Amino acid sequence: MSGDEDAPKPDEDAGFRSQLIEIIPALRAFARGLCGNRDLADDLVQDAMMRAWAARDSYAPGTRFRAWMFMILRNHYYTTLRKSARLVSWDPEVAERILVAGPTQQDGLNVQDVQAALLKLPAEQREVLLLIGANGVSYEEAAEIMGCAIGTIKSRLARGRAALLVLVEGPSEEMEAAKPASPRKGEPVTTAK
Amino acid sequence: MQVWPVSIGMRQRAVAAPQDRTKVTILHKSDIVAKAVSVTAGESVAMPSAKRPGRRDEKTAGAARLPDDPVGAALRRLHDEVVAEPIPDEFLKLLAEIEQRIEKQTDQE
Repeated sequence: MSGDEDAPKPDEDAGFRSQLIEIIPALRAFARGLCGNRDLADDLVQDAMMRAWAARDSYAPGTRFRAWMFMILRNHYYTTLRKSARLVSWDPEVAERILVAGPTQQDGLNVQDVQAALLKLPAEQREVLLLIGANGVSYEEAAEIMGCAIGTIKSRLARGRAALLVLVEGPSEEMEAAKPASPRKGEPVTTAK
Repeated sequence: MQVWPVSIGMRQRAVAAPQDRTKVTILHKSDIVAKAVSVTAGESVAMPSAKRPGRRDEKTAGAARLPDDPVGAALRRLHDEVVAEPIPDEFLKLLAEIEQRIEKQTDQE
């Protein structure tokens, strides 16, 4: 208890706490997009907040709190993903139902369709779409959060966007023309069952 | 034949030019690398400024969010819907717990 490290720092902690409060909505949105389930997402965020609080001494003040926090949430998501089967198998049939049943909006893509399609993408594409496309994080910050190069971020983003569009809108005419013999996904599944 | 050395001196310059050019192309390769590096550096320098709230739309033009990009628009709506939700009670309880711990620390002092 003699060292400064052990001394209580109520002011710093209060500042940390208010930063945590501010970032809750963004964390919830990111987590919801990642796992597509409100309750699971909120659990993830609360766990991440607890972890962040426990590790608050390792946060360097003045650095990007958002990036640090997203990194904790993302790492926790992947840890949970490895451990828990319910997070791995998203119940694609439910996703399929949402995809078909979602009401079409006059303007742009249907949000539920996009969420369902997100869950079908590889996690690395999903998270980069969410961070940059939804959350408005820069390439640089996304690279920091995901621990990879900016070039990797850009290519994942491009591939993710293209794949998402195909999932929501179906393959484009060009793509159909490119491989006319191949049957569409889903069709063989329904006939097989 | 003995005249050659003189004219060679002249020619050498003419010949030297293409040699220089090859040298230039060799240099050029490293130029490209240097450029690529500076472009990447320029980007990473440019991005933080794009994070300012006022420039949000400007940044979208270069990234996933083209103004009329349907994917970017839908992702943003997805995000905004969650952000607009009131924060659930569990979070407030968690924060209250943290608050209590801070108060305890203050009492100890």
